[in-house]
Amino acid sequence: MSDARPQDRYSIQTQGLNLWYGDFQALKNVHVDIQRGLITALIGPSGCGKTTFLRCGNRLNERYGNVTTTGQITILGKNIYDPNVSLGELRKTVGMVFQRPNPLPISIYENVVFGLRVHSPIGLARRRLDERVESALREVQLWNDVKDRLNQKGTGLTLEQQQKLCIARLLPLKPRVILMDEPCSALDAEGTAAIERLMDSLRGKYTIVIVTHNMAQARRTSDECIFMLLGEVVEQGPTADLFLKPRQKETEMYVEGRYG
Amino acid sequence: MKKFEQELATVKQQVMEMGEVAESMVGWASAALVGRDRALIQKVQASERKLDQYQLDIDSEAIRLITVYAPIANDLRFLLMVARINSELERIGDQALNNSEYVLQLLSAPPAQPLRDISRMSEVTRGMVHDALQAFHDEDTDKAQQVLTADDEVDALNAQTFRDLLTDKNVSLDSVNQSMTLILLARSLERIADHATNICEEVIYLVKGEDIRHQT
Repeated sequence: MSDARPQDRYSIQTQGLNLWYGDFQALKNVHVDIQRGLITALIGPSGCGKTTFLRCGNRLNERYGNVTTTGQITILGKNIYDPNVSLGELRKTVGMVFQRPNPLPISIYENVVFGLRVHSPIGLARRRLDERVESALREVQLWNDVKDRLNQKGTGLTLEQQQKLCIARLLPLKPRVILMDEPCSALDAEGTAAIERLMDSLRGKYTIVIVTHNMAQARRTSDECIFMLLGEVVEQGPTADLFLKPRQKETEMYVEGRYG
Repeated sequence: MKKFEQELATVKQQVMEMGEVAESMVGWASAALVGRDRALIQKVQASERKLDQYQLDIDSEAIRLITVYAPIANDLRFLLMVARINSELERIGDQALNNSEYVLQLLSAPPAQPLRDISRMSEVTRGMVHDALQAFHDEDTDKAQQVLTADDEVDALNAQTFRDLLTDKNVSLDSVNQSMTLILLARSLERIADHATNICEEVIYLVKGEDIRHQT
């Protein structure tokens, strides 16, 4: 909707975003508008700043020492660096999925409710927790595989199931944005296809931003693409356009496989 | 079914819908002449924009699917042929529109010329368009081959119509316009049959990977 307010149309907006690891500038004056409910892929050669940019979305970079950030990141209309923004609330709203599935070494059930237990000061009734677990596991297409063994450890699942569990773990907290950092790099072809199908089913309900080295995956899964190079955003646009008629020479050379 | 396969099936469905519109346009233009029914001419003219929109949508989707999935082998041949068949159908629609204009001219005066072989040509041509689409839908090379054979009959009928009208000793100054229009109409039908033939050659390439164009 072209007449929507920017905060309604875009889940994530950055303006003049810069980030340094010590003296090294990893992000340079990044301006992007990431549309709500779509899947946006970040592509570019290694070291271009994709993962750094992704980690800005839930302020994960702050966990690393010697990081300086300037500029603005607005998520759902709020500047996430405002002093009155709670980091806990931000990370409920903006969930993250990592390269290697990282379920906790506790039961499948407890993995799913872990976030709820951490974020809810008063515990929820068991029946409510059960509902949330079933709903989250159904949403990630894992319920039928694990419904009879919810008390078994999440770490005992296949890598594909573990990654689905990691996504399910975010859902009871009702995130609006899901950041995925190479979510299929540890999976085989079948697992990759399963996660891509899952992403497709989540389209529209969540804003998904995915970092991927796999250009075919970026093409297949995303609605929009952002091409980054040496810490800068070179080009952003609808995926089919970016791969068919890139506006910038650097993008064209990258998507044609001339470098990277 | 995988997402890509679903998307390919959707494009195929769009091509079939476009084909139905094109085939109807051909049929309406012919029926308007035989039945002297001007309302059918309006239907042909009203459908042309719809056909153009199908062409744009199908082209754009085929390009998107090639871009996004980088298909190979059968999927690549399918999408390349979809783009070509799309173009044939649009041209069939253009010819049908021309036919409707010829028919309109013919209906503006009492019939001075018998329709000769034009009714038969219309029937065979429309059947060829229908069968070509069915061959595409079923990926049926036997049916495609039958359409290629049927084209010979249309070519012969066209030549016959041309000869008959050119050698008609009863042609008067009043009827020469009608004779010319009938020749143009026959020629346009023959072109529609050629487009149906092209679709069948494209179906054979799609199924077998064999390019049989320009072999006769």
